[in-house]
Amino acid sequence: MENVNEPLKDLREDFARIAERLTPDVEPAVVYSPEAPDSEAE
Amino acid sequence: MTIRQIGALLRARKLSCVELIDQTLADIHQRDRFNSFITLTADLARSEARERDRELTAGVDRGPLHGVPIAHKDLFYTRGIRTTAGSLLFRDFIPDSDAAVVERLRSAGAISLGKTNLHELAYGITSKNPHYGFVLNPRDPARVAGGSSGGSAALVAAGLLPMCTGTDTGGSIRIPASFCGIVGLKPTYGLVSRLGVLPLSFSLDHVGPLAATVEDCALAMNAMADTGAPFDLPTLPNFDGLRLGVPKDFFFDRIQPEVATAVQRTISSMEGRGARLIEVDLPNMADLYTTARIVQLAETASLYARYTDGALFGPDVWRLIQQAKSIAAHEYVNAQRIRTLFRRGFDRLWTRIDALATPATPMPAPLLEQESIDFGKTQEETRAAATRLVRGINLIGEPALSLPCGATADGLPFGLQLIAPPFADARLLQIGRAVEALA
Repeated sequence: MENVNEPLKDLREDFARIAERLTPDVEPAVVYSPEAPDSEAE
Repeated sequence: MTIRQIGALLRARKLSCVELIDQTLADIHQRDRFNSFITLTADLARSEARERDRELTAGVDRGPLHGVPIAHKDLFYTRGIRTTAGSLLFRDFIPDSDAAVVERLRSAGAISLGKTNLHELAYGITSKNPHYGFVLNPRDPARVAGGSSGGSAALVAAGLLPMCTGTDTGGSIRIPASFCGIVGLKPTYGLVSRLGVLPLSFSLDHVGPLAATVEDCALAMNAMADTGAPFDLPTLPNFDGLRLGVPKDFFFDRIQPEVATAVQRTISSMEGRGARLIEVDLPNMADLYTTARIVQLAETASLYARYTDGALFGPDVWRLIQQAKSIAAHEYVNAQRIRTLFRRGFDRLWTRIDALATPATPMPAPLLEQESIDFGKTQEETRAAATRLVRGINLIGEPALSLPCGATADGLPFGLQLIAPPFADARLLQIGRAVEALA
């Protein structure tokens, strides 16, 4: 049976190296941010 | 005929909208041997043409697209008309609303003749669709039209329609434009609404036009985007003042010699007309490409991982979806974090240059069954080669235009890619028109 994940092996290894090199330079991704309260409405 | 040429005939009453639609439909029946359409909507088109004729008679002119025949990639919702995405999953899907772009183009007067064929689920670069037929390249029917917007590109390249809609997630407008010898614009991310367009990868999907000329792309963008500012800026007499970035590496590292020669010749011609060439170090484009693949696989898995019956998919798309499921959450999150670094890198680049010139694809259209591309010392899998120079740009969202810049000795066309800062789409098209005029 064909292992469908085999072609991804190189991609994931490449990306692991990229992530190891670059992620220390970036802040956590902002994926959710609540809206700031509207001070004038308070 | 270009959009302006069509408009001149319609407004001079040398041709009615109905006559134009009938003539175009007859041409399509006679000459479309490329599997360009999945669904033709001839009756609806004739009905709209009658209405556009009545409007012209009454003095109502909706603008340059009034009465112009177009078609939509079968990924765009069309009310009451099935929208297959080139997939068996959606073979009976009939939306109850139009995509925003479909509505905007209709409001501008364009008349859709139907839905164009594409790579299944827009997930591939050949448009060899196992369910609705392989889209063949009008320049050489033994070759692929490119994808995923292959049917749209083929119709324009065959001279059957002046403009069609497309989408671009990893090159799906620019690759078929390059392979078919036409113009394709991937606008700035979000500039054209994705509302009512079946997604493939939420943060990489772009909607844009494919047309025979840059001006036709600009006229289409006037209707497709909701900016209120025109995209058909005045023609540039030369490139005086243009700072044109030429990449030191990556884009010219592994491309076929005829492509390299033609692209370099075009860049030199631009320099000869006043452009100032600036050799630039780019952010690591190989890393950008890899990161874009991680993002696309993860986002596509979020859409299609739930399907378990492989018989509903072509083998290539099924394999990609199974691979996509194996991307881990931490890989996706880190890819999104790294994305911000590329964003900053390109922001710095745009302080030094106004546009970047590269090849669009490293080779012309491959043969239908060609699985790899020969680059002299190396071979590369066809899909990887076709996407290598375009995919990364989707991750940062910059506008990118592919326009014809030459052909091989066998007459196979290929494109020049011009990339500009975010939201400089009109300026990019203006530069593209001037490049087109060099030919």
